[in-house]
Amino acid sequence: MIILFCCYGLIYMTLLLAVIFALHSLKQRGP
Amino acid sequence: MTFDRFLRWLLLTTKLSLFSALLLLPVSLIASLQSPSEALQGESVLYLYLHVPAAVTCFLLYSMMSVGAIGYLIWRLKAAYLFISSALLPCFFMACVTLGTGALWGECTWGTYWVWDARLTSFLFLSLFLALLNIAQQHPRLQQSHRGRQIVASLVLVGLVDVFFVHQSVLWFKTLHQPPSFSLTAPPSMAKEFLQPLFLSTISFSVTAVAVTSARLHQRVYETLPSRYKEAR
Repeated sequence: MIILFCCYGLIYMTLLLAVIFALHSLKQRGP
Repeated sequence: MTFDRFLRWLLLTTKLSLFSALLLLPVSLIASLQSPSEALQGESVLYLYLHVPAAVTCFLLYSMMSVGAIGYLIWRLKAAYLFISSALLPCFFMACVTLGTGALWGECTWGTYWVWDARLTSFLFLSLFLALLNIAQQHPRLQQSHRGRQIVASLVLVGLVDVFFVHQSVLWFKTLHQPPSFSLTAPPSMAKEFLQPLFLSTISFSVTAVAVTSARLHQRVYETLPSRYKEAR
């Protein structure tokens, strides 16, 4: 169970971070 | 200006998909964790909501890369090649998630992390192929010449053979991996309680992967712009 929740945490955190970094880099580049 | 319109359209699509991903990811996480445990597998059924969406997203991105490869090889569209180079890393990430969660799920249900059956081996081959292609396409000699880009686009199309083999492997060979639960002709062999979170996770993984790919594409297109063009904007 611990491994399962670690998996969820790791994968969802990576996806969320990827989205946040992508939004941040878009903001830096401007229109 | 047509190019300017393309860049604006790409920016709008990227922003829309990124915000959709931000909304969908927590929703699918909550839906997955609230899903009931399965009679035989118990709590380990939760791996379903990571393994299947990652595999579907990997194939979705690969299909889109193949369309990009055709676009580059036939019409020499530079944006199509840039799409391939943007999608390779998210596609490889999804392949790694599929392999990793598959191994952990396999240990819970089959009692082993790995068997050399047709499905697992062909998918491992696809993951290695994606890793090598991702490394190779970063080489300046492949990136900067038309011939090099042609080779990368052709290799993407060659890899389609393995994607087709991965899909058919559970039907052609006797494998430990189960045959597909979904088909176009028959109703799904899965209870509604599991289908709903699976559908949500698949959508959220796909939207996230497409959004990140789109953001990477925007960055690559922006990098190719001449500096005087950037100053004029």
